Amino acid sequence: MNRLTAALCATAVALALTGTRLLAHDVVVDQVIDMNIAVRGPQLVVHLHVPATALADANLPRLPDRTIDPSRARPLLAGIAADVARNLDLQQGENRFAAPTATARVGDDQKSVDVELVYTGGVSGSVSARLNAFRAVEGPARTDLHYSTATGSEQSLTVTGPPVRVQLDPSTLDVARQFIGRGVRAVFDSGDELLFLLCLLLPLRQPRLATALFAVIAAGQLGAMIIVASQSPMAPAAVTAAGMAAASVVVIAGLQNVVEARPARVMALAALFGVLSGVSLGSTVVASAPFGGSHTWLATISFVVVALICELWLGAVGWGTRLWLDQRRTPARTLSILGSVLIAHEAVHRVVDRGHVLAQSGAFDGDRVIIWLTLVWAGVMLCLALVNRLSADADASGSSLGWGAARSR
Amino acid sequence: MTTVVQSAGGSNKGGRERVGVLAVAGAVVMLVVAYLALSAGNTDSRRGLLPYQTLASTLPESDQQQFKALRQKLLDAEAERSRVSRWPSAESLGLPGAGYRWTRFDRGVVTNYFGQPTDASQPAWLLEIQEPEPGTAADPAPNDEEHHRLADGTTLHVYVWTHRFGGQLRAEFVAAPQNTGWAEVFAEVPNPVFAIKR
Repeated sequence: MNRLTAALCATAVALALTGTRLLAHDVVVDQVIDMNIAVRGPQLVVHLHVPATALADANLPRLPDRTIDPSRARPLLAGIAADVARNLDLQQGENRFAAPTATARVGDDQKSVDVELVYTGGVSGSVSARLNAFRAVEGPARTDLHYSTATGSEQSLTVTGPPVRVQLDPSTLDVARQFIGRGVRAVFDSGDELLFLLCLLLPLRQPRLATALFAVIAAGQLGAMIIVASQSPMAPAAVTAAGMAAASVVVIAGLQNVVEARPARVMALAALFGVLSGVSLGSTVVASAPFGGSHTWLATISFVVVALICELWLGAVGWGTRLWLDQRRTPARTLSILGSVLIAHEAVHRVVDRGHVLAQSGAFDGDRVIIWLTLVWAGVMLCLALVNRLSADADASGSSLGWGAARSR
Repeated sequence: MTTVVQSAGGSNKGGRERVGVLAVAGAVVMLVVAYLALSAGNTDSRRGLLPYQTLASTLPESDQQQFKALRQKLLDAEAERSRVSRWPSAESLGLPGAGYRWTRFDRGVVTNYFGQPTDASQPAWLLEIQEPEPGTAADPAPNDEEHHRLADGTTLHVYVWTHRFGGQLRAEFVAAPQNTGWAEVFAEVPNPVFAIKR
């Protein structure tokens, strides 16, 4: 058994031992709250269509078929309208609006409540609201908001997760500040970019090659972000699948370090990672751009530029650290293999975690996605091995003819 | 013959390197500071919290004020408990909130101050104070939002809870608020090492 085979076997055993088991999950469905806010002269009118499942604390009386009992629910409706208004906490600048006229009625489908809030006293400044403040029982709450200003401009956005205050129709400065923060968080919170850059820089590389690798990643990301941003929003399952594939690329990058792959193949993998990571970042831009109101372009550019600068910074720090370790005479090969196994281990967890998310979304069967991903990578490796074998045969026959053959790593 | 070899710009090179190192260090610090500044107030507020817990900063403005006032009254109650060795009545404590009716309930070592709104749409509030069971070892956790100490060193576990549509609730001792729709409110995400999991 040669050293390469031994290293591959050791890596495979390490990854197999550190892997996790797949679990099945029930499909979770969002409880969607439709909300419209419109400025009508001196009034601000808010309409909400709230599914009964998102009013868990209201204890709405139900009929045997689980629909709302309108007659018994009637005495509770005023309280529900007041609670919705209180939790929406609509503000103008730093000041709260005066209490609105709040009314509610059971929806026509008897599975929801329609709430209307009318705020009087004029709208003169920037309006903000606390969105998605609902406790749902049959799945996470999601608020789809449509805002129409007095000038006729429109803003549509979606909020999931815990309640959050959102500024409607924000100013240029607010948008720039908000999206610089979002760009930084997208890179640092995801962690895929950090793992991949570390993996690339574990083997000591020439500055020119390191720069070229970063440029390839950045180009892939930029291209994918432009394409994703110019299309209609991607399905969340497709974005998760891209994230899962990106994490699997990190695993392969770890394996490439172990087998000391040729720079051209590392470059190809970097390009693939750039594209997959760009899909995730691009979908984040698309999903968050509506929070920029009418300044969508500023929001997008701020996000993209800051995300790329953050990655460049991560790469520079990683490369500097690797150089420093080399100057301390750290055993390069041991460091590369150990570091790669650790990173690949983390990446395997990410692949499995995202598989769970996909299984929960119900768009795909989680088991099958992971099997397909594994088969694709096995196929790629098989093809490469075949190409290597054929080129080695060609080299051998070339040598026998006196052409000479040089195989560069 | 002796040849003198002069190193070309040795001190200059060292100086440049120092400047370079300082510049990179400055850039790193600046980016970390920028990241922390930009992240402040924008981080995922659920991170580090259990499903029944929430941060006061994510509540409506009026609830945030009520929470602050309650935490202040809690200190007053503890001072009174240290002084007279029993928890003050709800009336004498003067708990906050216009339109709230406060009642004290005791069961074993646990004391509840239950605030029920007269307006059904307003939230109910619950101040839960747990003294150590007699004979149990002292909790070594440092003082934080959930751990307070009386003047005699007794460690208390204290919790502030809120429940929407408080007017629909019955004013009574709440044994397990986390299982009955109550949300525990924190000013900051608790330290996971000392956080009390119920």
